Amino acid sequence: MKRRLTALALSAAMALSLAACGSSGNSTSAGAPAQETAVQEAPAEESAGAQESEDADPAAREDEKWTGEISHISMTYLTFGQTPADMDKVVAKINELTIPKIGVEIEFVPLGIYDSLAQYPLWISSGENVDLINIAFQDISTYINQGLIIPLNDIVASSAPNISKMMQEYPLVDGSYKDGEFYGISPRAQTYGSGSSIMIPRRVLDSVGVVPEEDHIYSMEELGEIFAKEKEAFPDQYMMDLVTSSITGSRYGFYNSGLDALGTTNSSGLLMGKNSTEVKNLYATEEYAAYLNTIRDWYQKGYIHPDAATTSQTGTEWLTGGVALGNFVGGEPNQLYGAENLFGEPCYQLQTVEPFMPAKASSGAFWSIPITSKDPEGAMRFLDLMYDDTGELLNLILWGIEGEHYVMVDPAEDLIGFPEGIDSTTSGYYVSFGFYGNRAKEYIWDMSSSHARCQAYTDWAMQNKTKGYGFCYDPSNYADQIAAINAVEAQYLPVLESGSADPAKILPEFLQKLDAAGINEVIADKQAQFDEWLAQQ
Amino acid sequence: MNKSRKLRRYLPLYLMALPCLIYIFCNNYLPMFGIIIAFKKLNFAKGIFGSPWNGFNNFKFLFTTQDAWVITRNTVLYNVVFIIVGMICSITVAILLNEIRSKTAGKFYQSAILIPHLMSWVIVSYIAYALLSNETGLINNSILKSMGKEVVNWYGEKRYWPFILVFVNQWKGIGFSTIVYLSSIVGISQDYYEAARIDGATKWQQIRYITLPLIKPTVITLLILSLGRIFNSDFGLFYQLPRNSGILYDVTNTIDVYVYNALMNNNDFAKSSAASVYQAVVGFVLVLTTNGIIRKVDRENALF
Amino acid sequence: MKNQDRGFRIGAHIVLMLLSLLAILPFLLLIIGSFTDNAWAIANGYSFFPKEWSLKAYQYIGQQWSTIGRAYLVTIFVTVFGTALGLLITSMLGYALSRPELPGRGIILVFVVITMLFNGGIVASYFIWTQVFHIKNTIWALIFPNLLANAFNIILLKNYFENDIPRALLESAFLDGASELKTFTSIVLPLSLPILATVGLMSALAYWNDWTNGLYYLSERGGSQYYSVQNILNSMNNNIQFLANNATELAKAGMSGADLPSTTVRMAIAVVGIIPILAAYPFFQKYFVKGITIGAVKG
Repeated sequence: MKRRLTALALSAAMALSLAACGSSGNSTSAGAPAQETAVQEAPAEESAGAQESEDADPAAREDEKWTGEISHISMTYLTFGQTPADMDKVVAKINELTIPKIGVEIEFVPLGIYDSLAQYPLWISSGENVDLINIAFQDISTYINQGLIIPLNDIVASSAPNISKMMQEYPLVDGSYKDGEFYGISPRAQTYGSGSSIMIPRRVLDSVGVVPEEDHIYSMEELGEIFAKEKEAFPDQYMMDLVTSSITGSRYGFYNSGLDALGTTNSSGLLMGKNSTEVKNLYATEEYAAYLNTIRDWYQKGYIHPDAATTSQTGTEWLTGGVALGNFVGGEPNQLYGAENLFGEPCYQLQTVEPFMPAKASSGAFWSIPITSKDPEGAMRFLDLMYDDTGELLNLILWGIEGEHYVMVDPAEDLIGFPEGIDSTTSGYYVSFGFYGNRAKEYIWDMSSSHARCQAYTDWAMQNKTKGYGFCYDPSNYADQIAAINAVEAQYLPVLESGSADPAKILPEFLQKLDAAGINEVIADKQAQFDEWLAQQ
Repeated sequence: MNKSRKLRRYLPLYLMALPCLIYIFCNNYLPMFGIIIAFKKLNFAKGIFGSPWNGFNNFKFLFTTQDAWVITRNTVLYNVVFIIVGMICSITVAILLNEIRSKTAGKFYQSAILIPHLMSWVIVSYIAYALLSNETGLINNSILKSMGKEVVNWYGEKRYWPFILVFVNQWKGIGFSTIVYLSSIVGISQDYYEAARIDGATKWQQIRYITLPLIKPTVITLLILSLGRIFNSDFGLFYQLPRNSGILYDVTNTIDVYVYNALMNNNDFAKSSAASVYQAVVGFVLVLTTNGIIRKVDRENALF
Repeated sequence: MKNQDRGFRIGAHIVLMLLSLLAILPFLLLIIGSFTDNAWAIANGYSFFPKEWSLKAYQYIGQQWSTIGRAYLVTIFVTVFGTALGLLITSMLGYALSRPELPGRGIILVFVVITMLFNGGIVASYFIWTQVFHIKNTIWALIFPNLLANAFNIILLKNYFENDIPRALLESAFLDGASELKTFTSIVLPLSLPILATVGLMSALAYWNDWTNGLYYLSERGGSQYYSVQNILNSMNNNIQFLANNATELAKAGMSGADLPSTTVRMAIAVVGIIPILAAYPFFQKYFVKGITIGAVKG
């Protein structure tokens, strides 16, 4: 039982982390240290502080100092298993800032991100005190439905001025609603919008004479032509990093814009196209059948690895090991830097989907307050400071102490780098989860994630809002059907979407099982809820 | 009077039993209040006991699937085969091991066959993948190709998997289960064999008429205990080893795999608790029934 | 007669040799895999004859050697202590249950067997162990939850005591005025070395391989000094997997997963976990010696 729960939790994490760029083909970039130009889109009063470096005196900007009682707040601090050596030093620095300013003495509870999946529910259900948790790579609805976290409406209104203001403008709390109350606050992302793209090393495309056009949207047909040329020149390699662990939902969205599962997954139906108001069963559409045929064709032509559906390796391993030549990711500009780091060489980014704004635009990570918190109000004060317009607390948590853990390379662009003689392996504080607060204020490491580029991407996506933008489906009445549908998807999607099975034979079987699991009832329910919401708009 | 004398007589035994019973009580029985989670609409804010009752609703998802029959059939059939094949193989190996006179050789064999038990399923699945994959698999590329035979798409062909699963399960488990039987065989007094040898009994007769009857109690006990887990399946074996290949699901999908796939997007304690209660109840009924039958037939060997 | 015995024995050697090969070859593949160059392994799979070798996987593990060294001490302590204590209480209960005349034996057996089938789940276990017994972030967290005794071992011992220890021996001891405890320690236990070794081995394996207790009951802050080897290896494994799955995200922060020996390190981790227990195994084996001298005691 224990083992299975852990396994469950792990897989949930995988599913969600990959869902970020898998389930409907759009990435929500939950980890990048880029930031948008505050001057461009932030409210006017922000611009004054935007250019200031992080060590400016906070008191100079804030007219009042904290006079009330000091709150002692514990906050989970997610790591990849190793607590940074200088964490305590950074925490001391943070307290120097927050105790006089907001009356919060913070304590970090370091926790491997994998461990967090199993630990949070246990801590909270057995009454252990923790004030602020970060629910990342897992589904917040589990926490909401099981009553593990508290609703935040009132507390945000009373003690979180920055968040209150920001959530008017950005979808910070979308996806955490239940019965009109919200339970989680996600970071203000660097970019908004769903898109997708494929990264291909420049060397490869140059050698086959393909000159990618920026901002062109490549169709499957065009991609097929490029892959054909690549395959001819690199017969032993494969054209994309498609592996079984990346098929947690349909990859149809990597090639088609405007898919909107209305805050949940495809298993309960989705809108197809930004002007659509009809909830459809993706898998039963002609478009999907055609897509599978193309994928099957790619598989047979050797663009997709013959073991894609069963491999024990990850897409990343294939990229770094030279097995695959293409990296499917979200469409955000800051993806390029990541891909180039993986490939170890310069890449082209070919957009495959026009960015758009679906119903659920917030990133997958949420900050929440467990029911065991003794001081929710103090926790909220601390959280709120992460969303302020100076980015001071945010960058302190994220990148550590200036001069010691990073140096400012270009203050105008907020570009930072490692101090001399230090790199990611020797730094005493180097964590790169972008979970914290107002990410538009994050310092960046590379100009491909510059504020201007990120903003341009968001603007592009904003022009393409789906009809479901702002709506969130509540699937709780159909949880059993959805569980059964999930199991059917887990069985069929990897073989179908990797091309390793003949869709002519397998697709009808898949559809029949989806029917039997009750997909149509769920879709009807989703449609009904959506229609009701539309009518109110 | 009689009662107190009886108590005095058995008191030392009860006292000896006590520490372990206390442990079981603390470790296994105190947490059993958790079983009610399976019948609750869980809300920790109200506490486990304060959460509203949910009847059998948490069990529904086990049966909403069209595959309810397939997963039950697979789980039960594989378990039956595992129990029978496992018993035959491990008893055979235990008897063979018992025949080895050389201490070094005996230790070597025992250590060797225990190795697979020490590997996790994930690692076993990697090794199996190294052998079976299309592109780089050793069987396809080093053996079948060099023999001029057609390569096999192992993860795409259902018919091989019942054998692969049974084989790997034995391969991994035999070192461990052999030890259990071996300990029972080496416990048999040599006197019996001496006498049999003097009477001119062959090796086979010795096994047939001395070894097997004397380990019968162990066999029956292990049988009853394994029947209790007939609705449980080793998740690693059925999920990791076939690498979740959907084409193979007809022969690899079991209750545990289904529960995992159905709940993996949602860490739902109530539903996963319901699944394990369902498995336990079936197991419990089977254990009681089997034990009852055995008690009728062969009172000595019944478990309780 | 002798010939037939020899034939049987040769046959036994051949079968066991084959079985051993079946077990050792994959293990060899595992070991070789751990010494293979990561990129080569990704492109070509694991092979008995890799073209490129590398020590990187072990270097990666070695980076944490200081923690692993202490963790080995913890693991050894927990394994030895837990196994000994578990064996003690389990065999005492097994002994009591092995006496058919014990009043209430059936009820106690049912009480024991039920625990093999029903469990309250992790939420309830966690609650009991942390809120009632307060073992969180203590060394007991690795020893008590789940591992100390289980129904299977109790029943194995009970069966052995019941079936393989001649009744007559016990009765004559009682006639001589020996107490239960004395009979148990000086007659029953010495005659039960094979089963004690078996149960001890199972229990030791369970302690050695367990990482869930550490995961649940030790926290990074306050409990990390008690991490066992498997805790560390397992967390390394999971985090590597996580890193590999989210490398794009990390790479955006300038952290490259490219030089992480992701594939081969899993193999190395398995090797590091298996070798010590394999080395300790012969210690148990010497109690599986054939023909424990029951006859001699009788005589």
